[in-house]
Amino acid sequence: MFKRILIANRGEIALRVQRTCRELGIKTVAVYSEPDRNLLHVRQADTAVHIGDGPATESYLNIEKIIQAALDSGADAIHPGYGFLSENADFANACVDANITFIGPSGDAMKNLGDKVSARRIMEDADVPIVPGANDVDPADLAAAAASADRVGFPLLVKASAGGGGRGIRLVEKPEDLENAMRLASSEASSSFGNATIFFERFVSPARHIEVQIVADSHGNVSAFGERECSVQRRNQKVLEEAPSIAVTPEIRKRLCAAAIAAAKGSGYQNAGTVEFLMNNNGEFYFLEVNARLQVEHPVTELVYGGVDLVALQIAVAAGGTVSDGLVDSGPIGWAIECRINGEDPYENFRPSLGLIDYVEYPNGPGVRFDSMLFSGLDVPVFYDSLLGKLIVWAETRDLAIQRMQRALQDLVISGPQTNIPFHRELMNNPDFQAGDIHTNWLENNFSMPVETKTENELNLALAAAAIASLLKSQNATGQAMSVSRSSKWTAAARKNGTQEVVISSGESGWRRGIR
Amino acid sequence: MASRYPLTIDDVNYIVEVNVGDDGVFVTVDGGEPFKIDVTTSGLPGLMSIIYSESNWLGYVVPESDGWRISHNNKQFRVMSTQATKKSRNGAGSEDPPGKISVPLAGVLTEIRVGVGDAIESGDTVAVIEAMKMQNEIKAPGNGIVTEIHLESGARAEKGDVILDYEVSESKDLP
Repeated sequence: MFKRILIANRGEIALRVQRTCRELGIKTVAVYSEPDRNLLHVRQADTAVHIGDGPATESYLNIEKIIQAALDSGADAIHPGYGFLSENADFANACVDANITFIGPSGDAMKNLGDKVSARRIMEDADVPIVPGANDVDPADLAAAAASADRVGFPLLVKASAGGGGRGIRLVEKPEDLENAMRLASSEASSSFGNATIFFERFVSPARHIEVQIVADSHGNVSAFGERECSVQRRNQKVLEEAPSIAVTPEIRKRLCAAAIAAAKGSGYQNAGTVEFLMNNNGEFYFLEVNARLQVEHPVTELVYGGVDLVALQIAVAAGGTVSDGLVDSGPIGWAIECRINGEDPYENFRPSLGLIDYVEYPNGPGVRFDSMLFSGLDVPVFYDSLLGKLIVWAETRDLAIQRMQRALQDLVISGPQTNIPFHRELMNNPDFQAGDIHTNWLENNFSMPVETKTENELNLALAAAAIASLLKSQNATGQAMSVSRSSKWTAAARKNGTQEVVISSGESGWRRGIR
Repeated sequence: MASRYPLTIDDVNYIVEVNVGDDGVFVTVDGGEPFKIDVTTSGLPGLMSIIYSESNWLGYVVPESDGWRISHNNKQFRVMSTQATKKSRNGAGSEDPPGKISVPLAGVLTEIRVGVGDAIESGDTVAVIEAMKMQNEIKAPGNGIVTEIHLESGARAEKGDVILDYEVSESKDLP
């Protein structure tokens, strides 16, 4: 087993991995960029190594610095988390070269699965259903391309083999638009990814996003932990995930998991991964891609599979341990839902909203888990994504899980930047969502955020609070005793602090703020 | 004793009165019916709890240069001092008594442009304060002669700290 693991990440996922390491008695090494100095993952690690400035290219994406930090701190393994270098084959190989275990799949498996055309071929060979389409279209041979497109059928998607994040994709409704779409997708792919290879895929719509969690060991065993549904998406970004899926029957689950296991075995995959599928209303599903890492939404699987610790499994299989082969039968039990709590303003078209967290109150109680980087006084740096935390609930049924999420969203208080909590509250109250009548375009096509309303009562109390704050401030300035309530001198003394101002401290970077 | 505050939310002006008496705290908005609140703050700066009509209200109140920013129920309320909004529109902002110029917002005093004995005229920039990476000029509200300087350039200053005293002059023609 490993003695010391470097976690090449930040925010909530760095904390998530650290917690498991501590339970296992493994020392942790945190890496951090300059503006992340105050983050919890830095404070709670056994060792913390500063690796560079704010921009990710100078810190969390810098392979050389991270490998050096691992060598200097004596780490024998690296956990990459998600994002950043987690699916970077060069990084995985660099770890091997430095004699450090990379907790994830091999660089070769990443490369093969990262290229969409090569992944489609692997899946075809492994008898995994793929979206009907045409591999390797020659942009120069229009006649052959048109024939391929006819075979696939319209509407279809022209996709870049090296694409990702929604780039290099064109929807083509009719044959006369094909040539133009091919040219655009190909040149976009060439300039964005340095690889002009394109292919066609039938446009499956409406479709649900269903994905299967797998863990593969180095002895050829692959465990499948059922499915998650992530159909609630905005701009190809998941905002809510659940497990299991309301659309997956035990019979479909068996077929999904068998396909995912075949996909993992066919690609020589090791460690935890996610096989993503599109599923239509008839329960027919097609391979989409493999996410070769731990997913943001892994906790919903953990909660419906008896509290299994997927990070512990990742560490175990990386150290040579074994998993059982086949569909894990300890779940799913009950229902889990995860809401991504982002620093973004749902009333202003989800514009990012970051900055000082004045105050945060964590939700608690039965069935609630909040994986988060937040604490009162955190200044959320502007360099990284807007994910502040993940609110996850478990209950016996989907309806009860929705009720519990409504309660937990009410209990979660974040003062400071605007968050998308009001959006999640609306979502929980939405009849389509409650009925599970959702697909990947549902959020963008069928849901609209109501305009922000402030009740007369809320306005009056905001005015009262401002007036009281003004009164306390002037009393504080003139040295008078605090006199807004009949409480003891102890609360009066505490209240005196309540009128102090938040100021910019003269921290050397200018990024750190505090309270005077 | 009632304290009176002209406040603005979403461009609507209100007059809010707070009356702290033996029987509790009463608030009046725009001369309406006074309502009783039970208000308390905690050791955490800015955290305020109000019980009104037996319902709980929790907010976090942050002072800003022109009023207050309040987070409540995961929504933001900007409550501005009505005077401040008016003044900032007019370009002036000082509430200093004659003969004193003080710091209008917390920051670092990067520059003091006058010395003892200098004549100042209304509108002259006497100092510059940097706050939130912005340079803010501090202007003289009236004419006079600087008699004393209390702060040094480079010093951190809080809102209300007096920068300098000056002897108020009646006429612009004095030296």
